[in-house]
Amino acid sequence: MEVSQLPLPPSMVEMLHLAGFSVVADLDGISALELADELKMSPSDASQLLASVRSHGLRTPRAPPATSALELLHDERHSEKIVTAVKELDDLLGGGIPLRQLTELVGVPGVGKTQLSIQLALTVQIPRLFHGAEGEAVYIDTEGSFMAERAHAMAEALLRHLHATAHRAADHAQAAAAASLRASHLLERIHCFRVHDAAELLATVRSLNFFLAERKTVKLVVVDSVAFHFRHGVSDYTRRHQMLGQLTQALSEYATRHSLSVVMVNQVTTKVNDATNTSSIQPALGESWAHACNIQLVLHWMNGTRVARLCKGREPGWAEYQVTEEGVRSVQNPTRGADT
Amino acid sequence: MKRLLSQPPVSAPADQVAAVLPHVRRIEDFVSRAVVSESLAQAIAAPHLAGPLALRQLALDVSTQLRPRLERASEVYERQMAQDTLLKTGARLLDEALGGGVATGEVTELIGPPLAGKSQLAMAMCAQQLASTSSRVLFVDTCCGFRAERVYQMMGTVAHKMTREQRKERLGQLLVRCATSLLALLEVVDQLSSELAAGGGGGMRLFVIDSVYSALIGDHTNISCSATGAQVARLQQSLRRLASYHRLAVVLINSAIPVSSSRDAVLSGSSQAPLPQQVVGCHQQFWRAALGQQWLHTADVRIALRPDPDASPELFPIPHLLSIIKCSLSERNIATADDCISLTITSRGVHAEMRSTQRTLDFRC
Repeated sequence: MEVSQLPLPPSMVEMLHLAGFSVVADLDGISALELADELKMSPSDASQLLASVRSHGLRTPRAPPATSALELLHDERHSEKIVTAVKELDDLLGGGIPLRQLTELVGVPGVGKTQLSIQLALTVQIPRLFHGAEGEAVYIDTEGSFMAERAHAMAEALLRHLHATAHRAADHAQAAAAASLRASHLLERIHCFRVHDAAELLATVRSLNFFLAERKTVKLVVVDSVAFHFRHGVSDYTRRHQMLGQLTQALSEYATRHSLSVVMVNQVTTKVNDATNTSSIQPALGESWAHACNIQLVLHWMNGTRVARLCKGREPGWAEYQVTEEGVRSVQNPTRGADT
Repeated sequence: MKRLLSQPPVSAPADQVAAVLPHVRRIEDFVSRAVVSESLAQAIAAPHLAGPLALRQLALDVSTQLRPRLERASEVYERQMAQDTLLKTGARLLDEALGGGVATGEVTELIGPPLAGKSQLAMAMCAQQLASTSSRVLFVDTCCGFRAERVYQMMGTVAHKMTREQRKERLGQLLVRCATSLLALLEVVDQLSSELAAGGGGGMRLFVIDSVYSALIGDHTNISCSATGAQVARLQQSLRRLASYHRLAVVLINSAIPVSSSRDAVLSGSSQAPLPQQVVGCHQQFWRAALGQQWLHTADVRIALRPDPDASPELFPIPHLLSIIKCSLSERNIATADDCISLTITSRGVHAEMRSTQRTLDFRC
């Protein structure tokens, strides 16, 4: 690594260059006093500079090594998906929410974004015997909308479903696996963080690195919602933009490094078009944020039914769903279709 | 790497030089200092060095050795033509508009708002390159957007005679690296440079970064800050050097950000970048390339993509509009014409056709 890559002011980099230090390894083993002498600077400045070099330059490499697309193809084909429990929607998604990607759930209040998020935190735990990811979930709650009671009800419904599946297939191994699970076990494997402002959110996401390194079984990180604090708490637009960028960078890194799925809930905003004097509903947080997700699911109402529309990531399409006592489920006689 | 005066081509005792020319430690310093008259005057005043003329001769010798070989434009032309310099994108019409394809030795930037088909086009280029040559391809993924399955699928369309096994084997030549920050991206670019300089790389011709915007987004509002700005400048320099030294086609993906009017787009200085999007009626939406004025110097060719404003949102496959808004060859430039290319993305890959937009495209070039 070259010294010009370090986050140092250009004047400092120039001083290092003039003294003959061009790569970070040149500074290896040098003392602050020696450096101060070489650079004709005060020892305290030199030790500060060295500290900065050590923290940035001599760390383990930042970018993981290359993987061939062939390995990735294998991973993509064989990795587990997190089912939404809405069959039509799972079909659109190619089996469910995939790992190693960022999925955005956008929708008006009350359409079921949080319901679906909580359900995903449960379905990610479906045992491997049932072709699930058998992982744990991290739930970052910014709005205080996580309802443990609701999660408990959904967990029991999920267990009933697993029992029924095992019974239908007359699979003893499945039956035993289902019998060993309790709703309380499922809730234990959802790790909740309640954050109260944008700074806390960013800090939580960044420090998640250590948490994920310890708990390798985490396969899903939910942020419900990303929009809330950023829309109201951060008024400086530039600052907001940068913080959102850092948030996505960290989440993308975890998604790849720990092969987990990231689900980000976003709110909607009304965009008024001055020229045509019309208004439309758009995802909040602006266009630069829209690059962040790999898969975008827009949840909205259509003729009195809830509809999930896949807008980004795969071939677009939509599926109807309903929110029942058991959780998010498909509609009995769905009029579902890929748009033609 | 410290290039010291004690090493060839200078091989001078460092302490002797330092005695006459303080601060001169590296070859770069020597070349830049020894030829200025002030330093020479100092050198003349130093009797213990072999002599001022010797020093001057040494500076000349070193400069001659460091200087790259002189080439006439005709030689450059022949060299560039002789090398297989144009890589097909897979969309025939786009290749024609680009004068044959994406040029090796140049930096090509794909810009556009979300859902404009940038990543799809980049993956189509990879599929085309894998299917038609045996060289290696490097894809830097900064936003978890790479889909091996998609490249595999598009390879099937490009080379339908290839068996599954052959396609998979070729897929092994596509290397994917993740880099989610500016520093990680710099590291990847540096490693690639040194690998290619050492003769590695497996005949690599295509290098894709999807996207620079995602890698820089955590820092890019800080570009005015000197340290970040210097790093971004270094990234630009490295990318351009990679392209020209190692004859790589460097393909970058960048975002486009909306501006409220065409006037803003011009005022913000990015006169090359604004993309018009006329909604039928009277409303116009404009975009400009993200990452600011400094970044505009990175690319030799800039291709702008956006969803077709006239298309119904329910329509599938989704049509996209494509225009070439910066190009080194003028006949390749189709931005000023009334026509632009309509790009359709299907499960088979990307397909381009000419399309008359029936309206004046206002690019303010």
